[in-house]
Amino acid sequence: MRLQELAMIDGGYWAQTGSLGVGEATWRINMERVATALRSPWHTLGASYTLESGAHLSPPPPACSLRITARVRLASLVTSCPGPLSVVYDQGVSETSEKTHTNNWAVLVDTSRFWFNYRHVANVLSMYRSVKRLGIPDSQIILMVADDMACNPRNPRPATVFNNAHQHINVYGEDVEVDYRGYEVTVENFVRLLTGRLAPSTPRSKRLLTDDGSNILIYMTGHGGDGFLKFQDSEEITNVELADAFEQMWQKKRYNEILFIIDTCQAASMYEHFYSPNILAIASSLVGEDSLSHHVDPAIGVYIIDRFTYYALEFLERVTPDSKKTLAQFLQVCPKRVCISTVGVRLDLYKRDPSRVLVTEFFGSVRNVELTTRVLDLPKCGGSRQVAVNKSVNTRSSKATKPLHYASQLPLHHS
Amino acid sequence: MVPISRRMRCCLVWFRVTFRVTRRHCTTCRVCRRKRRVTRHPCLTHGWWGQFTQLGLDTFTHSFTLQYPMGRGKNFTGRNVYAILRASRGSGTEALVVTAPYRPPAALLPGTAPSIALMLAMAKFFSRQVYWAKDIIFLVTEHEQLGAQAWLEAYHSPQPLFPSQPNPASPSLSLLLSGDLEGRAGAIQAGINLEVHSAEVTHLDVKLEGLNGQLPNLDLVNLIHRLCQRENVPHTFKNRADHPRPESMEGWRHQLTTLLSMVTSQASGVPTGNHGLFHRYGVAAVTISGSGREAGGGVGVPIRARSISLQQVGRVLEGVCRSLNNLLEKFHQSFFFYLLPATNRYISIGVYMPPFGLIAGGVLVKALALWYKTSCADDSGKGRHSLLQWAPVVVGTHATCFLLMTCPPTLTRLGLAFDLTPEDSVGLGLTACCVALLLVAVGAAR
Repeated sequence: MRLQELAMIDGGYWAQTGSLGVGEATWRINMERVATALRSPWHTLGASYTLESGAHLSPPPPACSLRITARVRLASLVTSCPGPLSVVYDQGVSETSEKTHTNNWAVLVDTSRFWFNYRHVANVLSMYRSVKRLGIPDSQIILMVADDMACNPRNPRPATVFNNAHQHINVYGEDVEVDYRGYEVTVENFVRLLTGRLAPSTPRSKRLLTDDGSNILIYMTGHGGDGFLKFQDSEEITNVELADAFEQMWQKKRYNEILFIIDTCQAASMYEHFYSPNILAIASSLVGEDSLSHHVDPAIGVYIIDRFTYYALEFLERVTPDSKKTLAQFLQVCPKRVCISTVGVRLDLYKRDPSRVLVTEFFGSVRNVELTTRVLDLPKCGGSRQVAVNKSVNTRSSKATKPLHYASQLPLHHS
Repeated sequence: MVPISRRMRCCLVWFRVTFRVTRRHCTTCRVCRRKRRVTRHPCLTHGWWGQFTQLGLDTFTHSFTLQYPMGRGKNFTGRNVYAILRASRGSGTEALVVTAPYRPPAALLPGTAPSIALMLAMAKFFSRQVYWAKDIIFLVTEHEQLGAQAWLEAYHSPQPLFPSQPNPASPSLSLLLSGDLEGRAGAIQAGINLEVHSAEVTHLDVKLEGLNGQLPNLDLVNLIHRLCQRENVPHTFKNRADHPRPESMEGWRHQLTTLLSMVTSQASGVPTGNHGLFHRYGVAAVTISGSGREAGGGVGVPIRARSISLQQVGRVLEGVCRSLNNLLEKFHQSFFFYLLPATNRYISIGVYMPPFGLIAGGVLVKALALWYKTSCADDSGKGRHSLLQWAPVVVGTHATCFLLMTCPPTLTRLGLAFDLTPEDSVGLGLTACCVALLLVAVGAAR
């Protein structure tokens, strides 16, 4: 672990591989937080990891060394080691599990109504399609659409919404599930959804049931200005309100990381006031710039998609659930020559390196499946705590073994 | 309400044109051949009724009566035919109007049969589309502006609860009895008047000026010019195309002439088409007119080998109707007061009003100077002048004007004794009054 990562460890990160020199130190690990992260009472932690040189809140070990055989979240490792801390990472765990989340959610919001804002509905439905295709189930997507374009009398192709003048994809489809529709998309409902303060009678489909292992993708589109986003042509949400809502979420441990994407005019003003950790914010334009639409469909007579979302979708269309594309690549989807507005990014609240974060960690719901031909002994209650390989069973090595590979996450279908 | 004087003007101009003609009987149908002096053509309305009904539209007729106040005081009747294309998926709260004036074959103004054919074709095409959010009313009016005015009045006036009741909103001094409408759509958002005179036109002319110089919203005008550009249809304003080099001296002069012709037509107060009657009801409306080669092209319109076919005109109109369909509100974003030197340039009221204000300011300054001069002279004068000495002049002027305003019916009755037509008798009578007044004024000055 490099020195700077150690310095930032207070916020709570996954330990990276590496090792450091050691020295005399006083250190402690917040065992409660580690226990919460591993979903088990702390006294059974020994089964999944081993901490050398004593992990409890007891006198510090003679040497500052910590051996971790599993991914452990070091919540508040305060150190005053004269030298850096040694963390030796056991290579037995797969490399792709650098991520720290356990589930994925998406909140996709379109805030504008009327026929001439067709493109905002197309934006949000296209994101919905991508996110669903990459594996996030409908039960974990909150889709808020302020107006019904598919059934608008002006739509020459009723029950369809296209994001392209060539009508390649009907983003409305047959299985779209809109959770907040029409006049239900209000600032109050949005903030209540984020903070979780909903009436007891609110159905599950309208609740954001996240926990502190959830990575949330929040995508907002509509008309915005310097410091606000317009909802429904009658009210606005300010950037201060949004930042406070996210802080409430952080206090309530309602998210692990948030990827906040906003595609409006002067979008960068919306993330100016964020102060909660683990938020990566992407805005389609800076303060003082307008986000522009991409093209008009002459058969309908309105613009049907915005530039930033168009190029983001072009990128996402090429992402599959097992893709290795990173967030750093996603941040480059819309350079100024195609987007005309400058894409704004806020990275200071996000401690991970975007070039090491996969796009599917926010846009998809990917679980790693490791294939093995070995037989494993699961621990009995009260017995040994570790999963061990059963060596007594003779695996036939004479059988021609096909090379193993990770199973494809989901059946890919383009609807 | 429009002052009577303008209604007289309206009547005088258009009656001369249409009613002299309709005194001849139509020879086409048996009903008409039997009557000598017939003033309506039921055969044609039945024909259109049939066509519209066959397309599946709600078709209605609307009868109106004009009580001609001058001359012998005859009653003339007319009939409009209108069909409403209901938007199957829309809410029916808003409507668009496409109208064409019917002109009998022997009318003085060029015939509009191609316009009506175009309307029928549009109705047929539109009735098969699913994207209408507003109802479309196809209206064929009779007797030029009278039919349009009667229909609009009937559309916008409250209908009586029972058919036998008189219309509660009818004015006491009624010249045009607009009657009741059997069928109605929602609030009218915009209107297009078609006056296409030939199946092959050289260019499309957009006419804007309405009654008393009122203009439609500039957005509607720009819409039509843009669509014509997109469909490669030559488009003009005041029958003058845009000069290719507007920044040159000839271009400037060309635009100045266009501007002055617009100013004169607005100043006359006479609408340049039936669209002018829509403006008083808050409806943006224009007239699209086109003539064939024999009428001569517009000034500056390039002579093309091929004329514009009705299909191209239809495409422009379809584009206009679809753009109007996409609207969510009435036109209110662009200017209502403007001057157009070309189809693609405008001068808004914010630009042309300050010079006028300065001119008026000059007059005001002169008046103040005069007042100051006289008030200075007053100090040396003998007493204060009282305002009462001017009272006879003021009362006399107002009385003379009131008499002049109400004299035309009397003049026409006088003129009957001399066997004069109403227009001649009114004209001669007013000229005589003016001359008499001048003589009186000259005599009084002496």
